[in-house]
Amino acid sequence: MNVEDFQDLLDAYGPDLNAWQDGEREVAERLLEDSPEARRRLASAWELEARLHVALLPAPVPPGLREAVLQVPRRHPRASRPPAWGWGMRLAWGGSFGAVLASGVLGFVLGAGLLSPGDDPLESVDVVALVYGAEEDLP
Amino acid sequence: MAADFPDDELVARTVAGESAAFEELVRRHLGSTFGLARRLTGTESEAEDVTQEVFTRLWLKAPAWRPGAARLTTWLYRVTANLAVDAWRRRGPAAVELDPEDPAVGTVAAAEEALEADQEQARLGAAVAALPERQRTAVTLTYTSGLSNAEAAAVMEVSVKAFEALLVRAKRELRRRLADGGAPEVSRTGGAGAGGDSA
Repeated sequence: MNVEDFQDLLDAYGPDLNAWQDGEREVAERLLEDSPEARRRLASAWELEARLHVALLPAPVPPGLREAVLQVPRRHPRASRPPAWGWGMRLAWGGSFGAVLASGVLGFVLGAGLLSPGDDPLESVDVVALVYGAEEDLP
Repeated sequence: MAADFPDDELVARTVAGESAAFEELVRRHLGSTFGLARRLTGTESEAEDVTQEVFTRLWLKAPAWRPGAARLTTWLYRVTANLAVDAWRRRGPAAVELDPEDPAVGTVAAAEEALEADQEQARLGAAVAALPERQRTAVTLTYTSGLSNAEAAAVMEVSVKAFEALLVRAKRELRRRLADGGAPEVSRTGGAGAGGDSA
């Protein structure tokens, strides 16, 4: 490890060597013993760290925002919305249509011979995704 | 007591219609969500809009939440960062509100009227604001939201190595600008000649 490698690790992991992985910390500590420049870089990294923490402190929440956010359920009542999210609601609202569409898809698949021996059958999740669409950005 | 439940339980109870559960989620995460939005948008009004949109999406998408699949904060910060960056792109950094009382978003012009220490903080805040978009997001997630590299990488949907590369490039650029002592030049894309932004 040279001084530039050490600088990159300081920037990536931060200047608290105790938070580094053991192997990298041990090599860094040997470098610090031998290199005044490495010691200067470490001190400078601590200074930048402290200044960034101060400069980027979380801003206080402005008055009124909390109340506005708490009104979200009132402004967006879920019961009156079309079934955009959740399998339960989708099944409840779109079950009949989905069943018809699923039958059509399955019939097409069987008719096209895609389930013949040697081919990969469609996973059930694929059929479901075809019928109902994939989830958005929630895990 | 809603305050005793983990986030996943609160989301489930929100879906079941417990208003106290949603209120607890707001109490728990409003400050960090707004704080991140404020730093990434650069303006209070846009940060408020972003924060309201984040909690609106949380409310609307709560029925699709799968407990244990991810931390709620990861999702909240990801949506916040995406919305804030979109706002930044639409508006461009030139219209950032200048608040001389706030060193984090101060400019050189504001700092000239402040004490020397405040000037340094103002220059650092301006230098962060001038970083390319993804570097700025990486630095803000680390220092405003206090996330670990692994947590912040999950928010940005990049590998930990890629996230750390963003931090390395960001800090290298910050040191260069602070050493130069000049006002950072910002552009709509958030680029300030910092040598790329890909992760």
